[in-house]
This record gives sequence, structure tokens and C-alpha cells, in this order.
Amino acid sequence: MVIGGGVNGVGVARDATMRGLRVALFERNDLAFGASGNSSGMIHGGPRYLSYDPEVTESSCRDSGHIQHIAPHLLFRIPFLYPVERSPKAKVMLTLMDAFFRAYDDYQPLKRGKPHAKLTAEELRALEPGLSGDLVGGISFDEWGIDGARLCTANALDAAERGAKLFVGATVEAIDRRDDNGTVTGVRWRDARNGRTGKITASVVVNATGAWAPITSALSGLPAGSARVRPGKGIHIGYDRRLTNYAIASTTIDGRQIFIEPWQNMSVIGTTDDDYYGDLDNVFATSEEVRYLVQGVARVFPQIRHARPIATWSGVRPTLHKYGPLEDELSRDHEIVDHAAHGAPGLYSMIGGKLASYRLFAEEMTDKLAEVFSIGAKCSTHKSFLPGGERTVDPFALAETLGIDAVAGRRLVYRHGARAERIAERIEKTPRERSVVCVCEPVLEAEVRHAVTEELARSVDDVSRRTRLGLGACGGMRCALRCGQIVAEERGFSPALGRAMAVRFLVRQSRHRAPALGPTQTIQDALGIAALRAEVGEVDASSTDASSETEPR
Amino acid sequence: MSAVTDIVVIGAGLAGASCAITAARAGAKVAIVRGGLGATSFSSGAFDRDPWWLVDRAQRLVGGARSVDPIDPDEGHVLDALGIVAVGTSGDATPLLATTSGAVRRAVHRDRALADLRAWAGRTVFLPRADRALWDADTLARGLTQSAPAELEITFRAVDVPILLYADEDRVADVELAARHDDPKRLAWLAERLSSLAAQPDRAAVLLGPWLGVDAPRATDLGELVGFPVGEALSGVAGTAGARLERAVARALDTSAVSLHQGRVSQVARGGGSTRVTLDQQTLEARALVFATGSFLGGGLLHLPAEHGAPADGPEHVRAAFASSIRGAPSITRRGRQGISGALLGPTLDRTAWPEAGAPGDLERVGFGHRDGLVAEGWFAAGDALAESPRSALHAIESGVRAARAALAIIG
Repeated sequence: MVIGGGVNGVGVARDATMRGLRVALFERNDLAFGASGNSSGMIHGGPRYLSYDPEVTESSCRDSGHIQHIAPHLLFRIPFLYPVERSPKAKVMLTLMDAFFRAYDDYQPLKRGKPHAKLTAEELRALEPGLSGDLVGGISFDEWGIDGARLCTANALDAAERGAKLFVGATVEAIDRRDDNGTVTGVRWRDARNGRTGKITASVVVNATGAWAPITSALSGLPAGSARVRPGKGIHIGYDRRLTNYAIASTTIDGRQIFIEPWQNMSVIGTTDDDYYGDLDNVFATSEEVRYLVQGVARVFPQIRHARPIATWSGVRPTLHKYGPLEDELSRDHEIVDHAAHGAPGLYSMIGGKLASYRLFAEEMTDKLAEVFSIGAKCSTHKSFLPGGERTVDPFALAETLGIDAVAGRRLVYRHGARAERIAERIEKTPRERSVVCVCEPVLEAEVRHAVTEELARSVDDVSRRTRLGLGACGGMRCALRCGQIVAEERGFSPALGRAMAVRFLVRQSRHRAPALGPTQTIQDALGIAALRAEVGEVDASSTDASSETEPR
Repeated sequence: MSAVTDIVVIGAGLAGASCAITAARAGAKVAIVRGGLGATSFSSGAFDRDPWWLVDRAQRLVGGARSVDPIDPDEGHVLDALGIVAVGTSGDATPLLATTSGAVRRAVHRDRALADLRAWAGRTVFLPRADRALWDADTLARGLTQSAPAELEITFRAVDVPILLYADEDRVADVELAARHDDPKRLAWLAERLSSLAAQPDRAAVLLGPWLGVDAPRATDLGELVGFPVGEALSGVAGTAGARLERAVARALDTSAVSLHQGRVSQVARGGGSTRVTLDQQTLEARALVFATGSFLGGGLLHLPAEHGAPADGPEHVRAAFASSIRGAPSITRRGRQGISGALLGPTLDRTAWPEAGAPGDLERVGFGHRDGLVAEGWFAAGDALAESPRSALHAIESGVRAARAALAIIG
């Protein structure tokens, strides 16, 4: 039994299923709802950690290499520039950095990265004409980008196809234990969307709920402190296009390292790291955080102030707990808590970790499970491909066959790898599914339907996490209602529920956007949503569907 | 260059135009300043006074049909001047509009192109299939069947009739497709396609997307060509009805006695019993001034210390869109109450436009400097600039007419 549909949870579900265990996974919101789907979208080695946590850097780099092997379609290269401003210590600084990144170069082959280069100010400016400031030179180094939500989906799909049962949208309400010796016996769950409840027996429960871990462990009757994390909120701002060729590192007013990176179709700036004790199901960026990041990036790339922000997203890192250090100095390492020590044999909590090393963390966890269940099977998650990674598909040939735009083909193949062909089959059967529902990203009707029928999407929000629908420049104004129509149709909901889902998505997104928008854009945003409201009218935010569609996959 | 006039209206959207047309019709010399597109282009073609779902709910609670207030003669004249509005009549006959989302909504008046389902009672409504992303005739037919009142006895049916002529029409924007139907030849081509549905013209009707004309609503012409009614479904995002309304407003102004001035206002100043409005190339002098600038009034607005043009460190102070001789941004008094301008702060439609949980820090708002009574004698506001009005077409017209009357009273 795994609780949590983030990258660690689905990673364990996949590994354990591959080793022959019978697995059920519960996710309260949606796959990749929390930190996994709201990260910087990088599986970087973390040069930042090299000086104090070199083993984290090494494991991150090594595992990053494995992820590239099993899901090559999901990765894209993000070369970084690290400019150094003129100052009395700049020369020394640059030499030190050069040496530092020489050390980092040792890890680069693990993830097929290129070695760093020491660049002059002229070379930096030639590579990135927008760079500002009086520079003495800089360093380039290599990282990889990824869509964290797709990574979760791919792991979850693979686990499901190998026999794991996934309950997405089902909240575990209690972890049952025996009265006499405290051993875990199973969990009770409720599906908040349709009120269905159930009970499932299991001798081992893995708490992979990230920042929710203390809450989850408390469901077993243990004190929340038995699975303690230091929750750190991080926000990102997305812009409507790729503003730079390279990612650029910069520092904030308080000396923290931040960056602007080209990511998929957009530029992203991030990230903050602040202790967070608010509602984990409703994490929003604030305008102070936005300002703090923009101010930091503007030092090296002032044009950022004139660029058009279209999104913010926020997640809460489940960092290892330690009292005292500043957020940035906390270890990014991970650990497994065996709650037998607290009198609850069979309950384990996964604490900490990074997107880049999720697979390794899952392997360590599953090794423990293999020990408990006395099975000899070794981990093979780094050898077998994630769904879609097994073969490369030529996106442009696919686009031509289907009669869709090359860009649409390229995005489709990015998200689905070889599985794009399954979506192509849908289109061959029903040509109208070729139509582009979300023009910004872009997303085809066939992909929306595929997300609902094959990828456990149950709402417009879910489809958006799977496909990036509605996350482009128009914020879903055009496509959300149509997507709601499709979701309702595919799932057998009423059309009114489809409309309600769409409006909920739009209002939530606009709330995410608000802290980053300028005045003119905010007015337009409000007018757009008002126009949509005027079309569909009042939607019952609490409307749930009564249909019995909780059958796990 | 300087011109002397009775009333200057800043902003040529629905509210400003309503004000200017009304005042000019009463014999005043009116100048209007047109800066660019605004909220009027967000129109979906429905003319509401209050959010329609609240009216629905009220009617459910109270029971029976609600009588509609008689139309104010000046407002009626503005609607006539627009030339594209089908004016609703009484409570029983409230138009019922089909929307592209599958919902069915009431409206007080409507853009003539929009189908009124109430007038189509007892008919079979055909929805031609088209490979357009936002138009799935089958799904829509099912949705409308569920939403439309059963007593209308309308059957919605998706049908295979080719309605797209060129290869790009599976992807061009709705408003672009609509513009193509401004061409009479194209409209005749479409009529020919749709005619095949007319086995029983007295029982049939055709519902299409918002594709029937931008210069003018072409649905009625098309209906005459085919011999049964044809109408558009309302869409909140298509832009067609908004573009049509912007053009209708511009046309109404062009054919009125109002003098038009294109450009941006850089300064408004009050002195010696008159108001001077400075534009790029000229100055207008008038005895009354009406702000119909939507959300852009005075720049006091709302919001938002995000990094929009902010200095390197520290917050930016919100700048006025133009300078004013009145110290501080103007504040608006309406019906004796002081209000804060800035459309986001308005109730009803605005309230629902924004997440209610939005707390300080989410969206930091900056109000106007408050003063006693009127900001300056002879200055008025209309439309979205009045935070208190919900953002609806009829409120824009109503407030424009009211501002015109107030301005007329000042100039005597």
C-alpha cells in the first residue's frame, strides 16, 4: 500500500509491482499535484549542494542518467550560464568557480552532461545578448529539463499496466493497526468527489506524501512528529515565451541563487524557499515572492521587467527536518522512517528527496519492502523503459501523416514518446479528434480524450496537469469549456458538471496568475473570466458526480 | 489646435457612446475621444442588466414570470442606434440563448444573430458537424437537450452538412470565419448547403457557432435565403459578438452629430468654469466632462505591485493614466455615496470574476483618494469606471445615459 501520487509514491508503486508485489496506491488530489508537478522542471545534479552534500550531487547525477535512459523523450537539455560581476574579488571568484565546476564535471558523464567552460564577458554576451551588468566572465554548465507531471504519469501508468491498483482522487482517512502489537493492517479511504468509501487490507503502508507526511503518519494514530519534515515553499513564474537561449543563474537580494531557464515553450524563473505552514492543498504564490524573484533575475537580465508573465506555480518541498539552519542550507537528501520504532510495524515514511533522485529513493524503499516480504527480486526500474521511452518516434513524420501542425506533433511526442502513436490511432479512427483544443500549448482533442481514458484524468485540472492544456498565454480562456465538455462526455458526467469543472479550473488558474500580472493584463483576465461566467452562469462549486466511477485501474 | 464644445466624453465604448449619442440627440455639442478597443469587445452578444443566473434563481424562488421594467426612452434610442440589437419585450418572452458550452441562458436583449430558442419552440434544431476544435455538434446537441426547457419541445440534432468552404476553416478563429460570411456570395453558398435540411421548413431551424458576420449580424439574411430560421450560439470567448458590437458602436457614433477625436488624453484640467482636455494634437474645452474610460480612469485603479515597470527596488506608485488638475486621482460619487473606482472592485459580475478567497497580499488594491462630494463640478463617470455598477451591457448604457443627463443639466 502506497499513499501519495507524487514522484516518490508512483516510483515505489512501479518498483514494487515490478518486483512482484501486489500494490495499491492512493492519491488524494491528483498525480503530481504537489511538489512533483510544481518544481523547476529540472533533474539537475544540484551543483549548489556539492560543497556540503556531495553525495546528494552524485546520486542526483547518477539517477538523472538513469531517467534519461528509461524516458529519453521527456528530457531536454538546459545549458546554464553563470555570469560573474566585476568586484574586487571577482577574479578569485571566477577561478574558484572554475575549480568548483571542474569538480562537478566529474559527475557530468553520469548524466551525459557536457563539461563546463570558462567564458569571457564577450563570450557570455555573444551567447546571451540580453545579459546585463559589468561582467568579468562566467561559467557554463549543463543540466536537463523535464516535465515532472509527465514523469509521475509515466511511472503511474507503468505500475498500473503491471498490475498495481491506483486510486486517484481517494483520500486515505485512517491507517488501521492491530490493537495488541500496533502492526499495520490496512487503510480506509473516501473518494471526496463522489463520497464512496472503502477499506483495503495491507501489511505494509508506505507514506510517500511529501509535505503531507506528518498528517499522513498521524492517520495511524502516531504523533505527527513521527514523520517530520521541514516544509519549504518554492514558487516559479512562467513567461509567455522563451526569453533566453540559455538558463542564467543569478542571485537574490539576500544572496540566494536563482535562475531564469528556457523550459518547454516558456521561460521560467525560480525559485524561493521559505518555511511554509499553510494549507498544502491550496498553495499560492504571493506578489512579494514574485517581486523578490523578478528583482533578482533583473540584475542579470533586466528585460524580464518588460516580459509578459502568464503563470505562477507553487509547491512545498518535504525537506528533511532540522531546527536552526536557513531553508537553503537544509539537506536535500532523503531518508526512510521505519515506524516500528514508534510502535507501528509495517508503516514507513519517505522523507525528503528530489525529483532528480526519485528513482533511487524508490529503489531504497522497495529494497526495504523486498526484505520485509522476503523476495529476492532486484530493482530493475533503471533498465526497463517508462511507457513511451522504448522507441523514438519522428514527430514531424507523425505530424505529416496526421495532418497536424509540426509544433503539435512535436509536443505530442515530447509528452508521450512512442505512445504518441496510440493517440495517432485515435485520430485515424476519428479524424475530428485532430482538432486543436488548446492552441497555446498545443493540445489535440485526441490527447485530451487519451488523458481521460488512459491516464486517470478525471477533471479539467487533471487534464491540464497531463497535457499542459490551458497553461499557455490565454490561460485556458479558449479551451477550458471545451475540455470540460470532453471530460464530462468521456466519464459519463452531466454536461453541467463539465462546465463547473472548467470554471473551477479557470478561477483557480487566475488566482495563480494574479500575483504576477501587470494592471492591464489583470483587467483583461478579469473581463475574460467574467465573459465566460456570463456564458455558463452559476456553477455549483460543490457539485460532485454520483456516477460510480471509482473503479481503480 | 483648440476646440470649444459643450461636453467631452473620454472613452468610446458602449458607455461613452451611449452618453455622447444621448447628449447630442438632446442638442448638446459633444466631442468624444476614442483611444482603442476596450471591454466592449468582450461582449458575448447578450445584453443583461443583472447576472442572468441570479434572475433565474429569483424567478425560481418567487415563481412565475417577472415583468420587465419598461425600457427608458433614451436607452431605447441607444439600442436602436446600434442597429444590431433585438430588443426583448416582456417577462414571458425573455429570449433564451443557446451557448457553445451547452448551457442555455436568458438575456434581456440580444445581438440579432443569436438564436432565441423561445422563438424556435416545437422545431427540430439542426447542428451541422464541423471539424472545429470548439464545435462538437454531437456533444453540444446533447448538452442543449439537457439544458433547454422541456416545454419548448425542441429537438436538437447533429447533422452532416458541409459548412466549411476552405481548408483552413477547421482552425481559423471564430471571428475570422464570421468575417468571411460578410461576403454575400459566401453567405449564399452556405444557404445552399443548409437548404438541403429543409424537408419541412416550418419545423426546422439551424444553430451555428458565432460565425455569421462581423460588419453586421447575417443570421437573419441567411434565414431568409433558406426559408427557416438560422441563428448563432453565444460564446463568451469567440470574439465575434464583441467585434460586432464594437463596430456597431463606432457606426452609431459616425452617423451621429458627435465629433470624434482619435488619440490619448494626456491631461485634464479644471478652471474658470470649464474643463480643458489635452490630447496629443489638440485641446478640447468643454463645460462638462464624462469619464467612460472603463478600468483606466485616472489610473488610480487597483493593483498591483508586481513587476510591471517597477523601479529596481521598492514598490511602484500607481501612476495616473493622465495628469489632472485635481490633486490626487478623482474619486467617484454615485447616488450620494463615495465609491472606489477600478472595475475589479465592482460587485456581482466582478465579484464572480475573481476568486472570493482572494485576500490582501493576493491582489493588492489601491483605491482613490477620497474627497467630499463631487471631485469637480461638471465631471461625471459612466460604465465600468463606476465601480459600483456590475459590468453588464445594459448598465453601461444606463450609466452613459445618466451621465449625459447630468452633463446636460450642468450646461443648461
